[in-house]
Amino acid sequence: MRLFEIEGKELFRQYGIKIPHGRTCDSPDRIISCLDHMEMPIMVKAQVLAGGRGKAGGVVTAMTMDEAVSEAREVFNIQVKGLPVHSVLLEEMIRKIKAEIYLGITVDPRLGAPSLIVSAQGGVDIENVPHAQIVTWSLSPYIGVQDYVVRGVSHFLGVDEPQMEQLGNVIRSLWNLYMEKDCDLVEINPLLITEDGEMVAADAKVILNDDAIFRHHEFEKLAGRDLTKLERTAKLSGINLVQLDGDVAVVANGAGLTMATLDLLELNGLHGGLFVDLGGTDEPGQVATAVELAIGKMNGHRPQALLVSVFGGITRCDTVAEGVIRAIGSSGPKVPIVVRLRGVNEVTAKEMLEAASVPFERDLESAILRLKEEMV
Amino acid sequence: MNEMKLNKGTPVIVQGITGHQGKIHSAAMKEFGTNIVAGVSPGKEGRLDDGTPILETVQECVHRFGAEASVIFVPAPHAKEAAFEALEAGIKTLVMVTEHVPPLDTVRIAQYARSMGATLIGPNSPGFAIPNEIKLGIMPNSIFMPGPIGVVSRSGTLTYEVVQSLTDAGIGQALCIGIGGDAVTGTNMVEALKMCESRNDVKGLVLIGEIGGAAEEMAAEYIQERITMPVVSFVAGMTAPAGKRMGHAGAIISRGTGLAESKVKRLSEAGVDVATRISVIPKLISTAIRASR
Repeated sequence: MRLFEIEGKELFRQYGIKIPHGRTCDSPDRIISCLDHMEMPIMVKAQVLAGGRGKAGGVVTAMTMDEAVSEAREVFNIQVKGLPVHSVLLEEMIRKIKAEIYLGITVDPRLGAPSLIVSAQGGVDIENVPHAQIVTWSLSPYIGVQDYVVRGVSHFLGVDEPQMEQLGNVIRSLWNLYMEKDCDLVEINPLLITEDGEMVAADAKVILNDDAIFRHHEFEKLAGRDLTKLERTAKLSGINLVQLDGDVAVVANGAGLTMATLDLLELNGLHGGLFVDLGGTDEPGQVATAVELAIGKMNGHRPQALLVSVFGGITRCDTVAEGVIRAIGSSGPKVPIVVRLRGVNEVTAKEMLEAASVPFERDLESAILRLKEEMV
Repeated sequence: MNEMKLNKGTPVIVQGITGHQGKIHSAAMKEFGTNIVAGVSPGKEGRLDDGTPILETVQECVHRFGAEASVIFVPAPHAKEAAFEALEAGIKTLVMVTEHVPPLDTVRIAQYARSMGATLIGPNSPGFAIPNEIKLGIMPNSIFMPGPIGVVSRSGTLTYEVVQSLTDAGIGQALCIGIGGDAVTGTNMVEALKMCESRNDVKGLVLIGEIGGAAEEMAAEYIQERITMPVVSFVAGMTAPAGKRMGHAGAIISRGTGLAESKVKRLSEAGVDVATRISVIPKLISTAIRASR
């Protein structure tokens, strides 16, 4: 779960990483009172749960009070990747900058372990920095940030001896935050080093791990706020639902099979509109809920068709059949539907579905072709 | 990585045996032929209906039954402790079925397992199976038949689908390893490929990948350098959008990495036959094995 910059910075502050002075304005009506007695120039920064806010005009500088008021108003009105601005951070502008550094910690998928990522090219997207200008250090939970890491990073960045300890403190604080709060990513981009020798985190990107929220009660209330309404409803029922752009809803069991089914739809000229993963349930009620969610309204309209694609194991085929029949009800399906079942109890399931006049297939590709026919 | 010597005789325990899944799958594993000697469930000492002893600790299972492998069903909040308990008791093969384990717990378990010379498969793994010998996990028994193929996968049901299609085509499996769908796994794809290769009866490999992470890219590098037997692959998520987590914690395209296209490209460059449909996998692998003879 992604945090707003202001939330990330608050964590930085708690862990002893210096941040610029700032105020958060949560409504356009309060811009003027928030700006009261603020020293210019300032940064005006949109708080939004998506990357790319800079390009969308969500980060601007204001030299005067008048500029600050008008810029803040404008920033409230932008959208970043379809998401509205939650609030606006009005923040002291750090000046006399000597260096801008990138520091990040995340799991390196190649090593299967956390990795400290460092670059002297802070302030730009790390993806655009050439590999030669990035150094990474693998960090073990059992070893943490030892002095040799700090020395290595300082040497790489050309940070001189007196500042090495200060940089070490920032790195250790970032590591402690990463480990203690179970983060997927912590990133300071940039860490500003001023001519006076101060180190200040000008931005904060913190992504918490969703599976670890159970042991961080302070974040529980934030869970699911980055999901769409439909995705959130599904999650509360223990169903994994992802909204896509097409018009065919897919209800399957297991993430891999659901994805593979969506891919196969595309190969046959159909477009997936919903990814619905039943998980490992064997409750007809759960299947019925998933089907109801899938053929209910998505993006304000109904899907054009529903494909159920299950390989029965833990989830037995007859459970799926019962759930589908229950969801459709006596009035019959509102959209074309094909149910493809294979595995445990498939014969019983076939009989149940055929008795209820629900199209049944055993083979996935045949099911998709049949759905195509039903949609005409 | 330890060389896993698992067979019909290997004494296996189940941690979390009194839970719904633990109970069902202990019975299914027994039916498959796995030598389940006991289960662990703190505070529930006794016996299951089928007579399987339920003990308080893993250590007791090791002392009394010489347990060597464990299948973990313990829920995520307690999974790390369960794994540590098994490793401390001297268990050398751990299969973790548990879903939603925090990744930093997995890192801790995996690093500790490695230092103990133990193998961790999972978490979020459907399991490990050698047809007619042993199964550790939740894969359906009926899909397997013995034969020459090594199957390595990040997925659960998609693996069953592929294994079933192989079996339907009369192509059996020597072993099947589900490494799990998380971003961090105890055994990575390359290590799973090595386990397959170390067996003399494996003549061809089927690799089932998906979007996210770098497992398939690393596997491609390894295959290119080291593997001479035929490899067929399938990568799920060709049409998945960026930034959306597709069910599995590891299945996400973020910051331009983990794209299916780049995985397919790397695998193809390494000489792997990449199938666009599951249904063609049996034909591709049998043709490739025939050609390699």
